[in-house]
This record gives sequence, C-alpha cells and structure tokens, in this order.
Amino acid sequence: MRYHDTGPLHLDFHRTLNGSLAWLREHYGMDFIQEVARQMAHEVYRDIYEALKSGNPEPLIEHWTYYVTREGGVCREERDRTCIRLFVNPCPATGYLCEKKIHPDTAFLEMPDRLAAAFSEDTSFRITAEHPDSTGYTLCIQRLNHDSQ
Amino acid sequence: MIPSDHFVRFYNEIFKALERRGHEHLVAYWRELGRLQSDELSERFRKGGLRACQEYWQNIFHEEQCEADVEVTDRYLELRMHRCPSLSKVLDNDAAPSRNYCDHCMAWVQPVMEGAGLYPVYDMISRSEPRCRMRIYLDPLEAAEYEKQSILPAHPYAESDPGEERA
Repeated sequence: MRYHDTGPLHLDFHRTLNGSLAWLREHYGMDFIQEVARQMAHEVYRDIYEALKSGNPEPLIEHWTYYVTREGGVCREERDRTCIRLFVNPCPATGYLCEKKIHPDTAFLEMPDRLAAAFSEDTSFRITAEHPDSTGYTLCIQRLNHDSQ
Repeated sequence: MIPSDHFVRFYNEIFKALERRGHEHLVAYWRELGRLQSDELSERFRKGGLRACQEYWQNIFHEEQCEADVEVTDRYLELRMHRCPSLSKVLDNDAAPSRNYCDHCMAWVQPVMEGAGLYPVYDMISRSEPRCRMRIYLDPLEAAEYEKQSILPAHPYAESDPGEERA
C-alpha cells in the first residue's frame, strides 16, 4: 500500500470532516464535494486508481479493509463471479460521530459513494456504495465486461 | 469513508479546490474551521487557561504522532513542533500540497484563542518544512513584542494571499 499508517489515531478528525463537508455542501453544493472526492481518488490514491484502470481491484480492497479495521470497524468480504462486496458495519467514522452525539451530514454519509464514483471513472469497474442501514454500508465492485473475458 | 489518518490529505484537496475559486473562498472556509474548533475548545481554554491548552496539545502530540514539546510559564505557553505530522503527510503524498497549507493552523487557532481571551503568535518558519513554533500569551502586548522575532509569522486573515509571494 502507498500509505500504511500505524500507531495512535486522532479520530476527532471525523468531527472536523463532518462539519467541513456540511459547510461545503451548503455553500458550494454536492458537485464541489464530488470534485474533491475525485482529486482524492485520482491523485492522493493514484496507485489504487492506476491499478483499477489496469483491471486490478485488489489495492482498493486492501486499502479499504485495512483502514476500516484499523479504526475498529468491521469489513467483511464476499466474492462471486461478477462482484466483490465489502460489508462495512459498523463504519468507524459514523460510529465516532454517533458516540459524540453529532448528526452525520448527508455529504459525510455519502463519502463512500463519492469516492466509489471517482474510482470507477475510466475503468472497467462499476463501483457503488449501498446503505442498507445507518451504521454501515456495502461497497460493491463490479467488473463491467466479465462476459467478454 | 475518509480514514482519520488521511484527513489532512483530504483537507489539502479542499484547500486547493477553494484556492482555484479564489483566495477569499479559502479564507471563508478557514473561518468555518475556526468556528468549528472554537465551539469545541474556546470555553475549555477560557476556563482552564494555558494548562488546558497544554493538556490539549499533549493529547494531540500522542494521537497525531507529533515530534514536539510544549511548556508553560506564568506568562505564556510555548509549543515547539519538530516534525509536524500534518505537513509531513501532505508532503508525503501523490497529490501536490496547497501553497497555503501551513496557514490553516493559525486560521483555526486564532479564533479559538480569541474566544478564550488568549493571544497566539505562530511562527511557521517555512511553508515547506514540517516544523514550527507557537506561543500563546496572556498579555497581548507581550505577544506583539514576541512576534517581532518570528521568521515567518502566520496571518491567515490578512487582506492579501499569504502564499502569494511564493507563487
């Protein structure tokens, strides 16, 4: 992994992120949030994005699993012929806000969706996030051209 | 989710996206950061004074894995950051750093301290080296006098773009 943090965590960054995203959404709209998520996916996580463009989803799965688990969340993986699903529940970021009795903003809850959309661009994957309940989400990584391979 | 470990790189991307729209957009966001942090910290620092500030930063040093030390005298608190993890991560990054990255720190500290009745002086030393020095004074005149020694004092709410001279 390009980034592989260890040691103590400053989880209060989730509070700052939530407040920031709420303000940015109100003042600049969700397109702005998507613009920043795209920069994050394409530039900061360049190695993950380049792997996706070359048809390899494994660095994304390794990254997502590592950081959810590192913060005390649970990330369970299921694979079938067409799709890899990462069941994140509980999500540690949302869990931190709930512990502090802070309402998660829409833009905060949708961050997995925004990153997934950005990671999908110009790749052979459709990556989406589903939200079956308020404590977690499922990241679905679907290869688009599986029938032709 | 954005891992808490990667928040500062996300922050950096927010700064750059706002800078593309104009410096005043970045300043407006900094003011919001100041409001968010003031809600969390000003009352605590107002009640607890410099000792409360010291406790706060000692916890930050641990959680963010800083190489830093802090000491309190009867007139001021001095924080010496030998390796700032925030700028270190932004520099250890496949994306480019915001030219005003370091300024965001004073941008939230200043309103927090105003709310607490304290007077910060922030010497960034260099925007490309992850080290800095800050003093928080009880007396505004002493703070102003100390700032004269600063190599690169932070004034994020000054009228001009603080990183402009390097552009």
